[in-house]
Amino acid sequence: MTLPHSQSVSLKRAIALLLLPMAVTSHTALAAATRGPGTIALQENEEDFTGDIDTVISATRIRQPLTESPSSVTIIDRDTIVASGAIEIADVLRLVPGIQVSYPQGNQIAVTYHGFGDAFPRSMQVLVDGRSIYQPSFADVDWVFLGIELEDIERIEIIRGPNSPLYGSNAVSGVINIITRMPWQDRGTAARITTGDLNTRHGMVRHGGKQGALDYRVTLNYQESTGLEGDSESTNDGRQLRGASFRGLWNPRPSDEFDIQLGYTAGDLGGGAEARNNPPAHDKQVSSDYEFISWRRALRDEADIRWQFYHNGYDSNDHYRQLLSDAYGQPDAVIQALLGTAPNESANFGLFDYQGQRYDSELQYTSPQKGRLRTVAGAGIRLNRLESEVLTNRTDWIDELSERIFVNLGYRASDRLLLNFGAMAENSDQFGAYLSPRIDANWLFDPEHSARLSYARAKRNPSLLESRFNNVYELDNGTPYLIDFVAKDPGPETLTSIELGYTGYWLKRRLLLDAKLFHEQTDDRIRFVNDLSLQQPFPAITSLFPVRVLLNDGFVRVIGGELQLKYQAGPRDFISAQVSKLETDASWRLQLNPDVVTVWNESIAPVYTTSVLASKTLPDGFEVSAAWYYVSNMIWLGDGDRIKGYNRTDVRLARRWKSAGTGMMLEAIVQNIGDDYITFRDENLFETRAYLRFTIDFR
Amino acid sequence: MAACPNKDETARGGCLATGCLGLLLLLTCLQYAQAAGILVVASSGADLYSRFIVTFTESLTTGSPASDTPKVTVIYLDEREVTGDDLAASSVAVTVGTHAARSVSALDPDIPVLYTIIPESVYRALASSTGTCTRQSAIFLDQPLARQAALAQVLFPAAMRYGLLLGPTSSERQPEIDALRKVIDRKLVVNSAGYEADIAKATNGLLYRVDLLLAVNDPLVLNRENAKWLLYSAYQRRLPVIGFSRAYVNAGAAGAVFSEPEQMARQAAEILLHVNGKAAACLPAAGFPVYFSVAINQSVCSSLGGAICSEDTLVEVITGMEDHE
Repeated sequence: MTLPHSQSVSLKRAIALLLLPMAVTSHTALAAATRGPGTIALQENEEDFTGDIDTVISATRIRQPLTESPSSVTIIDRDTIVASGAIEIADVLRLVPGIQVSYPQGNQIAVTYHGFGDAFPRSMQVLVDGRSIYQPSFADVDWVFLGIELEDIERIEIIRGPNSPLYGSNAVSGVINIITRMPWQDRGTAARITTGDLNTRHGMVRHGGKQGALDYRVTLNYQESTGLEGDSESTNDGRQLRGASFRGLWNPRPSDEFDIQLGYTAGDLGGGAEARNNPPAHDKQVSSDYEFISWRRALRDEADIRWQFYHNGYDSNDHYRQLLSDAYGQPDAVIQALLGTAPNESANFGLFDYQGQRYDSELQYTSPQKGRLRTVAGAGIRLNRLESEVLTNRTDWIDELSERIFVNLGYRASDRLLLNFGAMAENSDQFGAYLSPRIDANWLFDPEHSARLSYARAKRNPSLLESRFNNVYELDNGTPYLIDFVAKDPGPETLTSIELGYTGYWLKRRLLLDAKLFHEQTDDRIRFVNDLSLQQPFPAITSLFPVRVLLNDGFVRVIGGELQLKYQAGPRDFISAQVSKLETDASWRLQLNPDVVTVWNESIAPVYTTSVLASKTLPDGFEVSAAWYYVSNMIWLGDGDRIKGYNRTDVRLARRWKSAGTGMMLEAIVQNIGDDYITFRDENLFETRAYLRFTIDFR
Repeated sequence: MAACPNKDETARGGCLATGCLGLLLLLTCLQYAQAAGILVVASSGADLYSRFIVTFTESLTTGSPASDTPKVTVIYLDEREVTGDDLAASSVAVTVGTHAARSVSALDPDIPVLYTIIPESVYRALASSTGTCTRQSAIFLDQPLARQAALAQVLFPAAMRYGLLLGPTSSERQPEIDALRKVIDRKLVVNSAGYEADIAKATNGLLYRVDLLLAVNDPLVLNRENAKWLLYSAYQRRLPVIGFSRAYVNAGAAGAVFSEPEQMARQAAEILLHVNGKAAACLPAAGFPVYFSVAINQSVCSSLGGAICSEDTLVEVITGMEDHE
């Protein structure tokens, strides 16, 4: 520090002595004040030691160690999602043992566990941060309309097997729990663009910020692509969508957390091939929105209470006109003769024309971690609404109100033995009440190896559509001419599952091994059967187009084993393998009146579903990964076909680098390097595809 | 889930930390003299400080003969300012809280001052500006890294690599880290963050290279806002965090070591009982608190495969480990 220049030495000294403590103090203060951007006048004090911190690791977020989990769990973390080279969220699920992913259309994805799926698989519960994303109509999951981006996902936890007590109705064959990133993990702005085959263009911009005690994230996205290549005329199954989503986390007090999520997606989905007719190329206008709020209060001794409310809305407009002769593949003269129509008459079509709404509210309490018993209990209420003239033959809204209560008791009988008992009771004003219980025992050989045995029974109520299906086609003059799907009072279907499993860590916890053997049986399956006793409005066409009724019929039994292995040397240096082997037998009726029963010996579900993913980081920020998938012969139900077994290999090469604090990543992804394969239906060809994806992160 | 060690396995007997400190004080400090008065300056009458003052005065009373109890004057800075006259009328001063410390330090006191309820970084900044060290001392709020590391070793014996995130103020703890490296049978991985904006990158870099995180206080890097980020990211990676306050444990750290105001007050009283009244007295070197508590988050701990031990047992085990050294 330079002292002021003065003529007199003594005066200089006196001034220096006076100024010295002030100068040093102000220097310190200045130093404190100028440390860091935006930290002017920052006062360090005891608050850092005594003040409360927002509780984010709350009881509901704490996971049991895998060795103590009563169910078989697969965790797909962010590094795995990135290494897989997945372009769609659903593609990541191929890495779960026993799951099949297929494309009924280029813009429609079907995900099933242990097969037995049609284009609208309904028996897995899929959640995003606790919100079920079921369509109240077809009761399936629209993977294209999830309303979140792949980039926003932190982790996906999959429970392989029924777990209604903890995850609600529809958690029949399993649960897929998608957990998105916390807004405060992604401060600043990021953007990503993807381009590639199928005329794919996908852009995303995300911004994360903070406003007082609210941390938020806003994501905007746009995507378009053409659909799958058909082997005959090209199918119109592309998509063009735009969306926005918001997540805000607000901690008014450290023990209270509010999670607010909003999303809206809208766009056009190309209309593709349907079951018995080939509509002309047309687009469906679809929009979906969701609003979600949850409040969680952390209580003493690691207990907590959580309340959540959400609304899902879905609106699909599907209208087109077609010549009746083209629609049914019959010469016009035949149409005229059968239906008494004028020459070359057209009619209105459009099966996916409906609106659906779901409102759900739930309260859950997790008891303190004290003693040997821990309880999770709660109750919820749900309203499903559906409006669709083409599907229900009514113009008004149909409602279904249901209430549920659930409890899960975890009892530590000894250091090695854990017992779990859970049950969910649900009452619907349409279908009455039922109970889904579950009981598990975990035996810990030591902290790193355990065996588990479980028994569960889960019921799935028919969806609103399944119970009210009345699909009637009319001529322009209002005359009904064809009845397609009709509900015949279906009740719940029941899945019973017994499972014996093992989870273990080896090689200093670098290797995780999980295996299970299981026996699952679904009874009273809700399915479509031709009923020859019902006449069409024009009886002559009954033999050509029997009425399909929806009822409980038949059973499916799946016995098999699953294995998952993961060896992890570093976050993006790992190899994982998943295998499932299934033996199935099933029986159901192909038609009623007269009844024709079919017994399936060959595998409807694929005997083998295998996947392997390996990832390695290289010097200079490069990463390489490769995935190999094999699914053996499988029959997709509904209007799916018998699909031959196929191999698929995906490869990804990426480079990450930083420039002036901004992170960037460029990825080259090739999906299905080998031969083309058929997916879901004979016309759907999955060829080799290449994509380039660039991500930039400004912080 | 590891088993909790028996405290006898790690303690060797011999003196407890307090006994050693007392011995040290007797050897280095001057004789007891008649009381001229202790001035206690507290930042405010808030709970944190009043708890300290209550225990401090009680400990002084119980620790001295009835006829010889030192006179204590308390000034609450939210009621009135402290002046040079107040200091001149006392033989030793004790500050409780950072605001009190800054206020007293600014007066450039002649009498010995014991600073309490103060982060080490704040004390170091103040101490360098006034006088010689022996006239000033402190009981920091910070815990010694060795103590956090000891808790980590007991709860998670299999974790071999400990991560530390340092910031601009905590970078002064480097000598302590170097000393710890020599005695501990673990690898210490240290990352530095410049400012709050860097914490995400600096923490991410650590998360991939360690088995456990020791949270080190640095308000420029780790504060109430982003502490939750660190805890969440660490938990996602299945990494335990050992914190330095009970708030950390409530928020999701597997465990924490910290000192309650009562514990620091007790230590302050013990120090003063040996120097009170002597204007020329010297105080022991500023240091970490001797008495401490341990808090455990049972759910997080068992979720991450940690040992299940009672908090009291852990205090004994760690104290034994410190005596060992």
